[in-house]
Amino acid sequence: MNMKVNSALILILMLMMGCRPELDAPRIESGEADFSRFVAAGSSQMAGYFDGALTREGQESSIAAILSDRFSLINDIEFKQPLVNPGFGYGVKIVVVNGVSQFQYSGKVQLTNRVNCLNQADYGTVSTPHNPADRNWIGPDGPYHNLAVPNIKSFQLYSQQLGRSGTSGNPYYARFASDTGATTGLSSTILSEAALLNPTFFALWIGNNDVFAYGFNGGAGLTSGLGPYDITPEDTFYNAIVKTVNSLTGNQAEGVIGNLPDLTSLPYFTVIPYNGLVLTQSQAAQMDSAVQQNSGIDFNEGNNGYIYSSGAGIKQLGPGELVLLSVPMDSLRCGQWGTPMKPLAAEYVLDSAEVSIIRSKINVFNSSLRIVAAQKNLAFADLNSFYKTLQPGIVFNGNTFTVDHLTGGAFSVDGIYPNPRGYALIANVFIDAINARYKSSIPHADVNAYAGIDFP
Amino acid sequence: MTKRILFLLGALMGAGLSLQAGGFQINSQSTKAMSMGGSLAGRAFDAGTVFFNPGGMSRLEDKTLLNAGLNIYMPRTSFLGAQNQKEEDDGGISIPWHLYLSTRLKNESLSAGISINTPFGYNSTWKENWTGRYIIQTFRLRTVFVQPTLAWAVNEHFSIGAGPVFAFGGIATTRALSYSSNGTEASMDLSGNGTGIGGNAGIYYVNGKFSWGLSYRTGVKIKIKEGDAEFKNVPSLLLLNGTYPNSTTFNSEMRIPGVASLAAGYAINESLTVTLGFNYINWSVFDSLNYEFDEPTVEDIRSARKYENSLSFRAGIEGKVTDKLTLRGGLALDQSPVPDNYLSPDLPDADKTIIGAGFTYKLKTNLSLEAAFMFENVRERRETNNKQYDFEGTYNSYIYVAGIGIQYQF
Repeated sequence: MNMKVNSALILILMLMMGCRPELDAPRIESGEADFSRFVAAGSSQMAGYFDGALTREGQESSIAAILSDRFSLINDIEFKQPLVNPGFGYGVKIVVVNGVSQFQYSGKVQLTNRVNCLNQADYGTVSTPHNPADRNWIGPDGPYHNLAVPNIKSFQLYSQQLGRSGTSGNPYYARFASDTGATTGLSSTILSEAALLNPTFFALWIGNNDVFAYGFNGGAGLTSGLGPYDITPEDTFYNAIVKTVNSLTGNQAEGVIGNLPDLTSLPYFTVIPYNGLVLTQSQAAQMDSAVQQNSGIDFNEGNNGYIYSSGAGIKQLGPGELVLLSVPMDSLRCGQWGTPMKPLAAEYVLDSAEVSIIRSKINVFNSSLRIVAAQKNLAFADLNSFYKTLQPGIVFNGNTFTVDHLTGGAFSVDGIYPNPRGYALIANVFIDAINARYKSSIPHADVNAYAGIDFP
Repeated sequence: MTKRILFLLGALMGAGLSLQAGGFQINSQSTKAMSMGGSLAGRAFDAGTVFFNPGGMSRLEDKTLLNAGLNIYMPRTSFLGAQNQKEEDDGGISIPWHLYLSTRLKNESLSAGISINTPFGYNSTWKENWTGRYIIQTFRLRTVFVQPTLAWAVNEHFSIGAGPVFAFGGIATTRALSYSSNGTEASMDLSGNGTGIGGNAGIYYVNGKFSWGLSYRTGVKIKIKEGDAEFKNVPSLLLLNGTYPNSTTFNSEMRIPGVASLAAGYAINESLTVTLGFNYINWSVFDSLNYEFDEPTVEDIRSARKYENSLSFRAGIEGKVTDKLTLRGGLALDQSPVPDNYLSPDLPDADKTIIGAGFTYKLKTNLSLEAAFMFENVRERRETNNKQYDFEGTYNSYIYVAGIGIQYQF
């Protein structure tokens, strides 16, 4: 063999050894739907609210943003969000100062390491400052395609007060409403903004706040009312969904509607067990003597239901009743909270009556959502079932997600809202529903590419 | 001359047809076998017969024969995930090697020998932040089999041989954990070694130009005890509250399958020999790969594998070109033991087509140099309903193997 041929052979072999097989990505089909003008509407989840605030990070990983990212695999679509500045974003509480309601702002909550009152390693949360510039009016920079607004209820989708500044409006919508009603006293509405965009496809997830605002505060509001802490009346909810879907489908748009999860399964309600009051035999005897005979309250060695104030007297929590994550943990552990000496305030507890009213309203609202979606032949994302699958845990690309607080990986520090990975899991449920209804082949979002819980 | 060689090389490569054992069996246990589809069970070409068919030792022409070699084993895998992401492994390299020695004893009908080689192994190296990182970032499985062997020529046609197998094995793997602190993800490094015992036996028959062999190498259970498990970048809270330790130990068990071979060889003329063979690999023993941690707070890792027994068929051709130069060729097809729904990125596998080519060049009367190249085309395979990790997508691999070896006659 001469040297040239030899070297040529060796060279060919060496070049070959670097080669990899080629894999061609399949064509992504839009099926019977047209995603070219996509609009999203809804409340906190669709807006990307998590860790107790609306942040840029949350907006960029909102369900709406993730869906638009996947739709844009078919063709480039314009999807503009009313973005806040990078940073801690802002959360809002209504406080009453000198008899006048006003907003109180703060940035997102962050995890911190601390030692609790039992001298154990524990986590704590700290609030962060918010950037007032995040609240500047950006209406003129619109139109915006993600019209989701944190904290809104179904019937506020067409409220002409929602875009007004001050406590009559919503502080998240007022900043990007095209018309804040400065001259007429009537603002633009979310549905009017959507109609101007002439959408071909929409995603709607509304209704969580119609129930949740009641549960969040321990059942402080009415079980049927229009106040901020009330559960929306059933007919109001149904009519709001009909009106909203009629408006969104006005121009033959196709779309997807999500139903409501069982809110009482969220970490916010499940982290603290109802019977976390651990007593020794002598402590139990001491507490027994502190309560009236025949009160139905009984203490034993071991785990006991917490004591809470209920109307006239005190009661003991039983199975299925819930303690809210808003309760100060060290007071519960070491400050005698939840004992006959310091019963839990009603705002920290959902008793069995409150739990069952929340569950039954969710069922009623879900059948309204299903009926309207079926009437309009829209895709229907069954998020109620999805949240149930988090109970045993679901696996995505080898990563297991559960409802566990912090270590479960799907929910944010607030225990209520999903974190970006949780939102991506939910976006995938929307995608499954869309693919099933419209015979499209939109691939799932890569859930693990989004942020999970970041420990200190 | 050059043209003639190239033509012959091409003809040899296309001539044979063989089917090989899939899974993580390494098909390059001898430089000669590599170029002939992977098996020498039906023809005692060299001292490699100690491993491929111990019965063949009695028929080696030389009193004492040594074969040794090593090769570069390089899988190159592309992956198209279900989220439309294109990824590829970073290209791990293994260096399988072998050493075979066979010698005729004073009693001419008895031979003794030893086989030391690395018959099973795999190395996958994916990027640290790839989408399968919670399953595996790197995975390395190694084995070394040491097999002292005796063979006996029963009569002029039949010979038998057998020996115990002392197996050494190790696993080293890293994976990410989905806990991050300050933006850095935690990870888990596992590495452990163990031992196991098996055996290898074979019958060899030769009659003039024709020979055949039947051999069986048992499966081996390699028990890994007190392997090291290290956890890195675990958030301090999870360390402090006892969710994770900094390190612990783990136990595991590698179930290496048994291999039954039936093969034959035929010398067409003085310079041309063909071989043909079957393997049946008892892959069903590889039912799961588990890591059980000694620290109770760390959840054990259990991953079902559910491998299925696989069949293979091999063939090769050898031609003497000159007194000094011998060329070889083989072509192989391969059945994968990995069932649908259990394909995972640590051991990607599919049916394979394999070609090999190589040569022996006599440097001195008692010393030869050998070289071989083998290319395994692992068929494109789509995993649509992964039951272990919900990790779905399409895999396609090429495996390149280049090896050199020597043969020495004492």
